[in-house]
Amino acid sequence: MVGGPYYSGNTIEIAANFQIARFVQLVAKPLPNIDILLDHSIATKQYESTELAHPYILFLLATMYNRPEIMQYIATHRLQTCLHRAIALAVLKNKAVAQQRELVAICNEQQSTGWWKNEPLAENWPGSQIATTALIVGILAAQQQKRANKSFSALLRQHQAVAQKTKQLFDSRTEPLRSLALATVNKVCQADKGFEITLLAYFFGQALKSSAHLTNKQYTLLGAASVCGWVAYTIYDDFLDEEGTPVQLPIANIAMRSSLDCFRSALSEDNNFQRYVAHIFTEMDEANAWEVHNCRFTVQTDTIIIIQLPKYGKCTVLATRSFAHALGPMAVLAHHTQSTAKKIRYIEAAFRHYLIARQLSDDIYDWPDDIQAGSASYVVTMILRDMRLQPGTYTLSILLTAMRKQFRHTTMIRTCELALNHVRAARRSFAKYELLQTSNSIYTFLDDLELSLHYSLDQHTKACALVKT
Amino acid sequence: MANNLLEHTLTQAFAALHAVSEDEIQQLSLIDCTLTLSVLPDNNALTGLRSRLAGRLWHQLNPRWIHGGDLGEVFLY
Repeated sequence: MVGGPYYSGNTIEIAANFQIARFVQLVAKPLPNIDILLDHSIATKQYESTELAHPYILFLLATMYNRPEIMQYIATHRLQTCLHRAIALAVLKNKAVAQQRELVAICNEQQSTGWWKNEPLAENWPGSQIATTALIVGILAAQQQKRANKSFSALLRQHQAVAQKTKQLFDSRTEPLRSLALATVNKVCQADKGFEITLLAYFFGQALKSSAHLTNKQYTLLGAASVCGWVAYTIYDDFLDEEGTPVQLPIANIAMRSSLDCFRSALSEDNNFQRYVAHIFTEMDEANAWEVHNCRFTVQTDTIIIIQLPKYGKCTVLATRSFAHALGPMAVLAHHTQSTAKKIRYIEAAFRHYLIARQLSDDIYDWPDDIQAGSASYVVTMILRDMRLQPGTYTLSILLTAMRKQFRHTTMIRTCELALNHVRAARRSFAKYELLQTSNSIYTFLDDLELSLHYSLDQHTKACALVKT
Repeated sequence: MANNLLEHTLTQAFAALHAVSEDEIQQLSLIDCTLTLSVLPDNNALTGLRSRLAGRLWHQLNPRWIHGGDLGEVFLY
């Protein structure tokens, strides 16, 4: 009959009609006649019959019909095999404990080869190990995605709380400073897609094996301190590069004081930490002064004067000038009962390696702009050193062409490898005293950075191969 | 703990599925192949397997097979 229900020989098989209904639902509109048949079979609980109570049919039912009686049946019956458990996991809603139980049971049943044992999927369908594993993997991956979405929503709320707190700090200021400051804070927070500015302290707190016992309010204050520090130094950097806008300077000053206030409020009784914060900011200013003094070339239209190249040594200055970024996590560590001076030193060293790797990774892309602005960044310096360039006056456009060639030839690979070494050193230092969980957001930042460096190297290799052909 | 367990389990499973050989794909029944393709998550590690499964279906589901094939291979009853 057109539009169903469909016959198998002389009988109407519910299982076959379920599958046809699913197919038609996927490629066109549902078929009303089949829906009536299936409604009836659900109402009369035919899915409990032997031939229908198989994993695949139950999976189809659960996917197609969000009916409480089916969900209840799947949740309370037939949990004896992995596939049934997986299907129960897919339909259980708002039952975290039961979901967790099913999840752990399914994971524990996985063989060391990565497969699950083959299970029959329906009455006349023996199935295969590949199909069984695929069905379980599909359900587990959906669970993982749900968890990730839930976790992202929680992080977004936390991020918004930090942005709100920071804006409150400027809200009572008079115009035009108030509007300009709020716009700057908004810009910083909106650009912080990975929450690395607003939530680094929170991520670090979550990464610790044992809780640091900081309140949400403290994490919010540490986030606001970080945003304020970021706002202040972004504006100061513009001035150091002789690109500053005078109207922004008062914002930087207030942001700087607010950052210190937030650190004070977050850990009000820890005078040692407050001294540490002051010391870090002083070191940042020293590093900036060193950079302005040593890392600037004179550029006039298409002419550049190079007198001396800066000596970056082991790149420590790259970490020093941005270490305020890691002050949030260091505050969490200062509050952590299991911290010792030695452990704190290792975590600090780990963040320094991470910051160096990040700076090198940025410099790889920014160096043409840097040299044109007269800035001797690490990568600019390395290219010129690789070229064995003598002090003198050069035509910038000609020098740039030669620098691009040198960069492709040697500096690009060397800088990526150096950055990767710092990523590895960061990982070793973080892991040294086993303060952190084996999998955590801080390691994810390292993984992302490492991946992007490998990607750059890979693209570079392919580009070189293309040029050779 | 559970997040790590789930992540580890999926990594192991992705590795096993990624290593499925062309012979194993050819030996899958049509319905196993279809189900596997329809339920596999959209994950980079499984892109190769998904495209090989799609290739296997594309080769089999030609007009000749559609006219003369056995519906029992597609719908279970």
